[in-house]
Parts: sequence; structure tokens; C-alpha cells
Amino acid sequence: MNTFFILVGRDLRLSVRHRADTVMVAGFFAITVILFPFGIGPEPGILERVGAGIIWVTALLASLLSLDHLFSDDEQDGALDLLLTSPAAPTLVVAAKIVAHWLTTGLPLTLLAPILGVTLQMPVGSAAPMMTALLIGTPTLSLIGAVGAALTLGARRRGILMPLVVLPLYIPILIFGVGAIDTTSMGFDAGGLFTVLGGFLLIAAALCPWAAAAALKIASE
Amino acid sequence: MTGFAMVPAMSNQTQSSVTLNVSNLSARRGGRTIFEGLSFELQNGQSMAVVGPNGSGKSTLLRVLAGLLRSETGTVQINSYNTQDICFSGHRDGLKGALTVHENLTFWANLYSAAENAVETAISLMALEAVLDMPADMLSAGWRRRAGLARLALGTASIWMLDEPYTALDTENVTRIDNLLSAHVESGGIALLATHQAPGFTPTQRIDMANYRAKAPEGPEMDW
Repeated sequence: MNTFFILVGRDLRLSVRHRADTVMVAGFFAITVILFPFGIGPEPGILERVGAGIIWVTALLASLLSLDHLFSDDEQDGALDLLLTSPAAPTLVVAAKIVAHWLTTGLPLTLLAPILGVTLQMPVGSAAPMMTALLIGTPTLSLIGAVGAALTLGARRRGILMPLVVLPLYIPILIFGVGAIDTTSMGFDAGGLFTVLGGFLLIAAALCPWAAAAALKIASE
Repeated sequence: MTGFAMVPAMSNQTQSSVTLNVSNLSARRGGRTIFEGLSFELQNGQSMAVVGPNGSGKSTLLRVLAGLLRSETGTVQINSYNTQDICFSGHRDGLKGALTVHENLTFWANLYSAAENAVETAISLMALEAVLDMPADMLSAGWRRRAGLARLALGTASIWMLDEPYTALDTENVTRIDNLLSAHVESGGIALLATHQAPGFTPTQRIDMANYRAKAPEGPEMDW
């Protein structure tokens, strides 16, 4: 467990040094969401109806942006070889990287979302379900994304290949994430939908670190 | 049988029971057999120089032994008393450019569960005092190598696998690495080094990769 915190601490320290990366992801998220009111127009009702979907789709894309260098930085400077030959289990290395990725991507997006919801004329009451859905959903994005990042490590045109691998797997989270926000805004109980999102998170947490570690092993050859 | 067998340390074993046993090892990369039929055994206090022309598979051998590459046939058996069996050092140093030299070393020391003063010892062994607070990005190639190799002094690994450790180092620092290596071997460790240069300390064994070249080359020579 101590090893886990050492690894997370290193990645967090690195992202503080490269804080422009985190700011750019959050900036991408904000600007893309703000584009929609300009594109669709300010008519009441429309933005409010599609707001949850816009927030989620944009969050998926923003989280994808930073996955690109989840493993590739360590691969390029040789640190990945050293981590894989260190006493730390590869699965633990991967799990630590996923946690650090979520803390620097998913968490800022979750905190930013309610503010951007206002620009989409979403009702004030939707802020809480939106944050809850993102809080449960974005870790799953990091977990699934890590498998994609590991599989495509070292591949040519990784920037295009990875979205092709990862985005289809994001669809269930998108469906239930948007559903949970919309159902709650309409005044119904969305407990079941949040539970499904939680279920996705648990399944992903149980499988993805192992799958990503195995993929990393293959990719590093 | 392909793969790795980790023999757990027996409770009655002493520190003198480190062995690296390689039998009938062969490796393929990119559809070409790099080397085959390689067997050797190293015991505590022994060291081996892996020599051979470019593309003969020195790096591949070390990566297979470190578990980073799969072998085609054969077994690698590591029998060690330590939680950390091997310490690998490749062409790239694995230093994070955004972190200072001290932060880099502290991270590895923590990960290796090194003794408390291990970082200070490593710093003085490699004479890194002048660059401690510099981000690793700012270092010259020689300083990077020194900072990267200081990692060796942090761990408690019994088997060192070094790929071209002398690259970019001046004679003074080559001596530092040689001292580090002799101290490690004298204290019962095993060291393997792939190098073009003749090391200052004399490895007990020597393996020429040219002797293990695949019989029928299937493709053009490439530098792996």
C-alpha cells in the first residue's frame, strides 16, 4: 500500500510540474462546452434539454486528451522499464497511474461541470446529480482509458488509434451518466441509474488494472 | 518450457545463495531469431561481461533476463534472498525531466524501500552534489547517466543488469561505476554488463554473443 502512495505521489508531483497539462484539459472542456450555446443558439428549452449530453460527451473527449501520455512519457524516458523491473507489481504501477490520472483530469472536470451547466441554461437543481454522476463515472473513464493507452503504446498514429479503441467502450457510461442527470432534473428518482454507474466503476476497477498491466507487458516488448 | 521461474527464498538460506541460471535461451524479435542455445550460470560474487558486435543481441539478452521481453525457448531461473531481485539499467536513464536529481533519487529509494541514508550515500558515490537541485532535463548526457546510475546504489537488488553503463561517461566516472560494480560483486551480488568498452574491473565471466547467433539468418542485419 505504501508503494502505491509513493507511485501516486510521484505522478501527482509530475503533474504539478507540468500543471499546464491539467489546465489545458480543463480549458478544452470549458471552451468546447461554451461553443454549444453559440452553435445552437440561446432559445430556451433546447440547451437545457441537451445540456447533460454535451457535458458528458465533452468530458469523455477531455479525459481522452490526457490519456495520450499516461504511459508514453514513462516509456520514452525509460522509466517504464525501470518501474516494470522494480519490486512494485505492474498492476500496482498501473493502478497508481490511473488514480493520478483521475485526480488530475476527472476530478477537475467534475468540479468545473456545474459552472459550465449554467452556460447551458441547465436548472440549478441539476448541479448535484451532475457532479455525482461525474464523480462516479469519470474514474471508470480513467480505468478503461488506461487499457486503451497501454494497448496502443508504441503504436504509430496512437493519437487516432486510441480514441477508436476507447470511445466505443465509453458508450455505456455516457448512456447511464446522461440518464442519471436527466432523470433527476425531471424530478424522478435516479437511484437505479447511479447504482449502474457505480457497478461499472466496480467492474472496471476489478478488471482494468490487470488488463492494462498485461497490455503494457506486451507493448513494452 | 518458456518463461520465468522464481524460486522463493528458503528460510535457512544465507545471503550467499544468489544464483542466476539460464538454460538454452533463445529470443526472437521482429520475426528474426536474435540468439539461440544460450546457457550460463552465475553465482554470488560473479560477474559477466556480455560482448559482441552491434545487433548480436546484447540488449535483447539483458531485457529477456530482466523479464521485459519474452524468451522464445529456455528458462531463466533467479534464486535470490531479496525482495528485490534485479536492478536493470537500460540505454535510457528513466529520470523524470521535470523532477530534480534529488527528487528522482528519493522516488527510487522509496520504491526500493532503501535504507534511510541510501540517497546520501548514492549521491556521494556518484559525486552528484553539484546538480542535486537541478531538474534532470537540464543535465548534460554524462550527468544524466551518473544520476541514472546512482539508482544502483539505492536498491538492495542482488543482480545488476547494466546495458552500456559507460556511455557518455568520462574516465573519472567510469572508475566510479567500476568501484560501484566491484563493491557490489564483492558483497556477494551478481553483475551483468553489456558493453563495448573493456570495464576497469575484471568480470569473472565473459560471453560473446557472436557465438550464439542463429544458424540461418532470416533477414538483413539490424541493430536492435
